Amino acid sequence: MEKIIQRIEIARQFSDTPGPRSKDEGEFSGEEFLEKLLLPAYEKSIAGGGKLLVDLDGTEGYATSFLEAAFGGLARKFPPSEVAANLVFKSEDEPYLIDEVQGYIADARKAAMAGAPR
Amino acid sequence: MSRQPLFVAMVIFMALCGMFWAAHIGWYGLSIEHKLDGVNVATLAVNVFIAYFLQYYFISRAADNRSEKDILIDGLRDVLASVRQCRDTVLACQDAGKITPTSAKSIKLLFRKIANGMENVETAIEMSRCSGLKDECKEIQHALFSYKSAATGGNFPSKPYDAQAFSYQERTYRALSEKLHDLVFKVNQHQ
Repeated sequence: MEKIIQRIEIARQFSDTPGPRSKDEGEFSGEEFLEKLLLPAYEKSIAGGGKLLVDLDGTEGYATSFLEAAFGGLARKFPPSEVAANLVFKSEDEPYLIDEVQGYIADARKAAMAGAPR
Repeated sequence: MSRQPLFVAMVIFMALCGMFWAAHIGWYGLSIEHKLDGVNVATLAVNVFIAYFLQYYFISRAADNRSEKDILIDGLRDVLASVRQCRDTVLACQDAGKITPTSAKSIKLLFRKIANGMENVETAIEMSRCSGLKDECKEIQHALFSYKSAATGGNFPSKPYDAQAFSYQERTYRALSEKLHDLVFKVNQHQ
């Protein structure tokens, strides 16, 4: 059984209309989400030895750029394998999003293994 | 209802009567042998079974298949309609040279609708007799992901699509559309 230490509900805690990739591109960006919510919650869950549950439901939808900036961004700050192991996703509205997000984390992992600049 | 089977049955029946009459009058040395042959009776029974009972099985099976295919094709038709609607919205943004918040929301909602529609189709395919086609759904999911990345990746929605992004979108859109059409045809032809 996974021990969930932290939980983020994007629609309730951040925005039900997630926006673009970076902060200078508009409100509720992936970068803003990473800095304000995802990163602090991830660090707390790692410190507590548990996992972080990210609830993707309840929003109007996600742009690819938002998801890549947030979760790919996290996997560029921490070892991608660690990020993949410590994040748990809930997405009943759009179940395919979980694969999509895991794909961004995996891409960050591939880039890290290839020695690409972060 | 076609009258052809009734006509054929009447022709066969009249030919049978004619043959019995010819045997009765001894035409060309024909005769009727009044004895029961077990093998012939069994053959007759099998023929009657095939003619009257097996056809119902195949008819009902064919009807079930058609109903399943109709459900799957309807689902795919909805997905195709949403994909076209999404492309129209993206094209409108391209023409306008900007992506308004309303358009951005609409594009994201349409992608959500398309993805959920494909999930439903995939689940229905797995439950149907066309379950062998589930790998095609995986390919469509990949194509959908490429189209979504092309339409909502990069600088979406802060900057308008440039010519290069638009060209990539068109390629990914066509690939997705082709795969969806291909699946519709395969479902329709599935035996």
